[in-house]
Amino acid sequence: MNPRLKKAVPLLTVLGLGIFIILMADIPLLRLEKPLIRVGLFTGSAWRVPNPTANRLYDGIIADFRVQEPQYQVYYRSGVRVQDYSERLAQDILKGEEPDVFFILPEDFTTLASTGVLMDLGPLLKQSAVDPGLFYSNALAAGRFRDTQYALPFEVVPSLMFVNLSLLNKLEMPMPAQSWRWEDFFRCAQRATQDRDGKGVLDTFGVNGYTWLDAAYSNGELLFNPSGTVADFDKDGVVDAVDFYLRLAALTKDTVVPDFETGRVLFSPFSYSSYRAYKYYPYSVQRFGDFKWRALTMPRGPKGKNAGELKVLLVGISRRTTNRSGAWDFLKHITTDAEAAYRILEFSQGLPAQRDILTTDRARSILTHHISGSEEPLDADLLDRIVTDSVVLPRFKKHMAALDQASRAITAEGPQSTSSLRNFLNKLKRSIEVFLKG
Amino acid sequence: MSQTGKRILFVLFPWAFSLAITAVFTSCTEPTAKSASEAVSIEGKIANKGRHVFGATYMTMVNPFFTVVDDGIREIVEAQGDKLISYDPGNDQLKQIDQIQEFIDMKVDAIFLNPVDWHFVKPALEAAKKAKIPVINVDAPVYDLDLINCLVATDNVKAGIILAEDLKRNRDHARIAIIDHISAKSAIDRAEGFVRTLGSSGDYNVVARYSSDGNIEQALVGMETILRTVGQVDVVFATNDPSAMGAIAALEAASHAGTVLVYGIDGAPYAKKMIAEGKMHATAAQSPVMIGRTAAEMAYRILRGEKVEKVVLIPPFLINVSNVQRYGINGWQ
Repeated sequence: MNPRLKKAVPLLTVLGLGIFIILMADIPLLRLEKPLIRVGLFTGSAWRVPNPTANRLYDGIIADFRVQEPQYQVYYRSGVRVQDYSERLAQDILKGEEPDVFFILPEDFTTLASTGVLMDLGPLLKQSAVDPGLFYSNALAAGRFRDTQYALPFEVVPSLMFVNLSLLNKLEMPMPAQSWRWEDFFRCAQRATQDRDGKGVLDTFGVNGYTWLDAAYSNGELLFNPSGTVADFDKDGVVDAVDFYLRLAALTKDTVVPDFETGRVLFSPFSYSSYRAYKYYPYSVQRFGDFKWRALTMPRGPKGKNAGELKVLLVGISRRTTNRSGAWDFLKHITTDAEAAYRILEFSQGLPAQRDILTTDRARSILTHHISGSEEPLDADLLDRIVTDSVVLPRFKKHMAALDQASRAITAEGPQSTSSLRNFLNKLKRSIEVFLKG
Repeated sequence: MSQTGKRILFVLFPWAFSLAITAVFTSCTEPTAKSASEAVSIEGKIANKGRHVFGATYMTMVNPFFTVVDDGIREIVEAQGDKLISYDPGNDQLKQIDQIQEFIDMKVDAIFLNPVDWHFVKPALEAAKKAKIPVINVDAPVYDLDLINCLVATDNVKAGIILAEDLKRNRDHARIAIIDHISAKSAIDRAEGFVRTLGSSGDYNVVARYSSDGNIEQALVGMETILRTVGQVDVVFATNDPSAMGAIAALEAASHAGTVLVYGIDGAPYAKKMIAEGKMHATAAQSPVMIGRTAAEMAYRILRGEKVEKVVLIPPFLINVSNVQRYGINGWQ
């Protein structure tokens, strides 16, 4: 061997081993792989309706991101079912191994924001060119907790009222207008609540599934202050809503109202995701298949709008992420990229949280594809208005528990007269506020 | 090897080794997957100390059949105080292979598998075998049966046969479209049993076949394509109920609903409802609950070291308008 080469052998060996050790130690300075973004997502529909194209939605958006931002690699664990997602995310958080950026189901946001898991997106929004006006303002507010923006909205689902058209025609009633009010709703429901075959029991019904919350939200009442310390049950708008709800419930007192699916019920509130799943082929043949039905707006109270609760699927960043810029670039892409919004329209059963998408010709064309029979889809301008007018509920820790308590009291003990109702709601307000402060 | 060769190897070995490791690290697109799985494994073992942890992955859980199989397995597993982790690959074989690898990394005690593609799942089966993790194959068989411990499935050939016999009772001749699923052995067997039983008399002609991957959405597109290319058919044979429903949606959209006999396989509640409503003619009913429970029992027998049957077949039966009410339309049989 050449003596110079012989001398170099130990040096080269040490150098080689050195590089090997550096790589094994994963020292970032010399790391050759691209920065990794770990994404937390689920398989299926966040809205619990069948979605055979969920993979096409998420894989497609991630593929677009990989093309636009090739400096990153993206990893996500596939196959976690939506019903297992919250638990898996919680386990990862407890182990300190949560993804850098992850989807947040509507019911999980308050817990995640209040426990300090999520990064404050305010500074990132400020630094970047993201215009908050890109989103529906209520959808954006859904990602805010105590005045801090912790998540951005991805997909929204407003509330609608389904009407059994076959029954409406049988009862020789006109189709309510999309601007209908509580009184129109009550008149129709009252007329539909009938013993049609004369056997002494009701066999057609006005409404199933409509709650005092639907009445309150469509009367512009959110029931609590934003921080969750005050229950607004003494406000006139809430008293009117509960009074209306009790009047409706009294139509079928002591009778169990069958499901809307039986075809014997005139109205029932459903989410837009149910409309999208079952008004379109192929699932339209599976559900509500043996009668004609349509979707209407929610009837509005004297102080409210023709809309109800807006459910929002959010995306947030872990406060402990080691790839802040990558996570932000990914979050920005999936929530603000127009192609991602069109993918939502095409492959999901919700609507994009980005404004100005729904009313485009491309969106109208997507929403016309595969609608059942010769029907027209819900008008895009109307959908846009429903989303805009829908309410996002206050976000504080005891919100669900407080609503449960109040609902139990109203449905079990709600008084019949309006004068005693005000006293009842005042008492309920005090007991719920004690619970909120406890 | 010559002295010079040895010297070259000596000089180059550290470099080559470094490069090889670099290649492994840089080519791995999912470096956190393993560490996450290891963490799950540790967490799983702590939370389930001394208890069994099972993994399950089904071709697509949009098909409620697999949700019910999963429920059947879970019922047995959780009754023992054990844990079942279930994944949905959404009809993507690569995703399913990743999921099986994750189960292997988690060191689960056994894997319940319904393959997306009966051939291409093989690398995952080999990895499980190497890790000595038993695989209980449910519903749709894998090609390499030697790589699994047990198959629990419906007698799929028989499912095709009973539907063909029903068709022969109802029609003397027919133009038939088949919505099949060429990557699933269960569907291949169903179609084979159906076609073979119809015979070669020329009275029953299969005029079109379309593989929908057992997916409702693709079956809709497939049936639309068939109607566009070969025109009206008398009979649709779909190798599962979601595909039958997709076909019915396309027939309804083309105003052919009710004039075509549509057959499916599964006995899903929605299929029974459509049979009762006259939109679907018949289904060969399976019992996913029984498949799930049997698969779980087989897993425990394997873990106890018992010898189990390699193949357990559960017979299907016909549900049509004459007996649909007996089985009820609100649940599975």
